Amino acid sequence: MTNHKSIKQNGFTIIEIVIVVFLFAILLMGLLSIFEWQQKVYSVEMAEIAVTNSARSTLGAMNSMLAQGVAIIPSRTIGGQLYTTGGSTIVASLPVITSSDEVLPDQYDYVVFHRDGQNLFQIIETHASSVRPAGSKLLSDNVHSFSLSYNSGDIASSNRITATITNRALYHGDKFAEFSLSQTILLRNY
Amino acid sequence: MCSQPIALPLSYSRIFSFRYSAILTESAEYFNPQVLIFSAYFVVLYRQNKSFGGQIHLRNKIVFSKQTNILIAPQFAHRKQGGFTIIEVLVTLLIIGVTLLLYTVISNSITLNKYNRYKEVALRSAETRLQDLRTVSYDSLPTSGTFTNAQIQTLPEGTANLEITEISTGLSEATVTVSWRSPSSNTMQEISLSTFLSEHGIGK
Repeated sequence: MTNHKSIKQNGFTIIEIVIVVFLFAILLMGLLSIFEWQQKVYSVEMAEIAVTNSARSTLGAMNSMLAQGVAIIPSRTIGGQLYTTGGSTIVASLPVITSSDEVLPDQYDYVVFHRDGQNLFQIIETHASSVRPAGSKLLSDNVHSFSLSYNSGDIASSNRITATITNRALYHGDKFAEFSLSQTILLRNY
Repeated sequence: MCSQPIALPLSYSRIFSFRYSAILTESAEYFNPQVLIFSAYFVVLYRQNKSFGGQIHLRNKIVFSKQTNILIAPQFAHRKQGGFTIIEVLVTLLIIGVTLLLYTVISNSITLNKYNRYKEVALRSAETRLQDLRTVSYDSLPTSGTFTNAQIQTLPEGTANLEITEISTGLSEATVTVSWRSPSSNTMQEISLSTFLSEHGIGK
């Protein structure tokens, strides 16, 4: 028979346990609310980053391409699709630069910036001896509005374009992040 | 005698384990230099007293008793040590640190995002202004001064300045500076773009 009075008990008292559970619950609630808040901020910020980045990449590409432009072309068929210059599409000719760094006279590469729904593409058609990489590239996938205005009523004789892009990305289901960017670009080789 | 036993380094504990069950306590105490010194001293005492009488005294205190087989460090002989172990303190600090870090990282990301956005708006506005200069003839270039447009007005306290300096006859340098209030502090931020304008290169 064990004499219980001589045994030192090493457990916790009920009060200690209650206090610990209570404190732990408070701590956990705090941590959960931080986590939830962090998730919200994360989705907002991801949407903000998405719209900022796509506006930037769109205008960055347009600026670097169209500044080299020779002329604005009313329409051109590339890869079987007809692109007509207007409020949401622009076709421009660019000088052909060969691998020996020469510019071919009267020969052109063509660049198209074309909006298709929420997407904005850059399409490049190159001359056979051009070093410019050809192909299509998605610049923006959350376009809300895209507008181009020309300094002349006659598109073919315009040499200055003002591009305005507004991007929207949804978060939390119904709210959206929006970012607008605008820039005037001059065709330097016009 | 109800004191905390000291920790013996493992090698010593093996020596004693044949006859006396030396007791090892929390690992933290291994790093106590007093304990280590005392342990070494104990070994010397033990070796000198082959006919071990049952008790070892150190500075008039019983530090080892054959009856209890408990080795007591002198500094523990009269009090029970409370407090936290280093591991407990470290874990607590880690939890607090991670929580604070989480807050900082999130608020930083918001600021960085805004910072990027303002900078992009400022850059595009400055570029546009420089492009506009190329469309007028050299003789009708505007004079230096502030300007604004709808895009600059979206910046917090956004202002823009154009400076045109004639470098030589027929050649000028135009510098556009756009400044705005930083999203993170009360300081102003600015970007500056420059281009050369020559008499024959502009006015298209």
